[in-house]
Amino acid sequence: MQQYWLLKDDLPDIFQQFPAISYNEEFGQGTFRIAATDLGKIFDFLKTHKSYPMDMLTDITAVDYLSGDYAERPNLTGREEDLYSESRYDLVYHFYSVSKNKRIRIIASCGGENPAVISSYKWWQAAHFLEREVWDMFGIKFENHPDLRRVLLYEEFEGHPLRKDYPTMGEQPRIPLRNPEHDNA
Amino acid sequence: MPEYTLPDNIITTKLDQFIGWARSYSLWQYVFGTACCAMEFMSVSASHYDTDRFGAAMPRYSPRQADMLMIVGTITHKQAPVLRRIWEQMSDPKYVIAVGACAVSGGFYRNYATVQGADRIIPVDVYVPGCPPRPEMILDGIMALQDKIRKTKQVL
Repeated sequence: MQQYWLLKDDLPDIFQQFPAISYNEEFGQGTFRIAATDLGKIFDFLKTHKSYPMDMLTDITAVDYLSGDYAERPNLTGREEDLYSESRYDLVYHFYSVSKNKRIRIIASCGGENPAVISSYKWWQAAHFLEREVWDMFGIKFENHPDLRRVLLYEEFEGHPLRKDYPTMGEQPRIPLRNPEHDNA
Repeated sequence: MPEYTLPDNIITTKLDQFIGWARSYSLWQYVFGTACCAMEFMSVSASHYDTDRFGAAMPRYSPRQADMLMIVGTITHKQAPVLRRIWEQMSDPKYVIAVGACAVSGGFYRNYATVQGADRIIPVDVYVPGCPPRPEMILDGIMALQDKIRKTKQVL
């Protein structure tokens, strides 16, 4: 079977360029975890890679680890400090090399009071809407994004609904709602 | 006084019943299709099931020409003002059918985005449950609405 995912042995140079990178592999898919400050450098690296140029950005999404029940993140315990933990969110980037038919996954943690990372729009224009969606749902800012607005929700929506501290049933109606059971009684 | 009979080609009725009969068979519809139920609705309005049999075969793409608003699919809070305005633009008498679990009650969505039933925004005459409803159920809903129109006092 052909290997679609770039694994450790395919990219020896990524470990030389980024000594702090960590790697793990599950189900035949490699995941490279880097510091959020290195994102700009790794975008340069991936876009201009000699053997596997990543010419397509497939997806950007994020994960909120607020609940802290994850064995690999024992530092997330108390709720108050978790809210502004520096590693609360994981940003997940998926890249695809059209010419080589290879994929790679990059994860970077971010957090703090105003989580912000560098925008990848300069390298891949597909990032425009993807980053707007991550901003919409998780409230992670992308610096140097040309037009960082909400993309799915309406302008007057407050908060970011996919954050774990957003109330599960927190509705924000735009018009006064009827209450048919009450009105018809 | 001589006994007086009408000729065979004249039928007597009450004004309310007559208008109700006419209105129930000319349901021009505005289809507010927002989700997967709209696919189901397409098969209902196509020739196999055929809403034309009930006089509801004229989808109007302007609410000002429509009598019946069919809400076919999930209503989100982002859309709520749009649906409200469309209903306000329809001229009286106007009827509303909510088709599918999401339009009836929000369905299985209970989150930041979904309105818990179209009747939170506008009054609804007939609810057709199902996810999605069978075509027969939508036809049954139209027939229930016809029945309702015939039985109500007609506002002129």
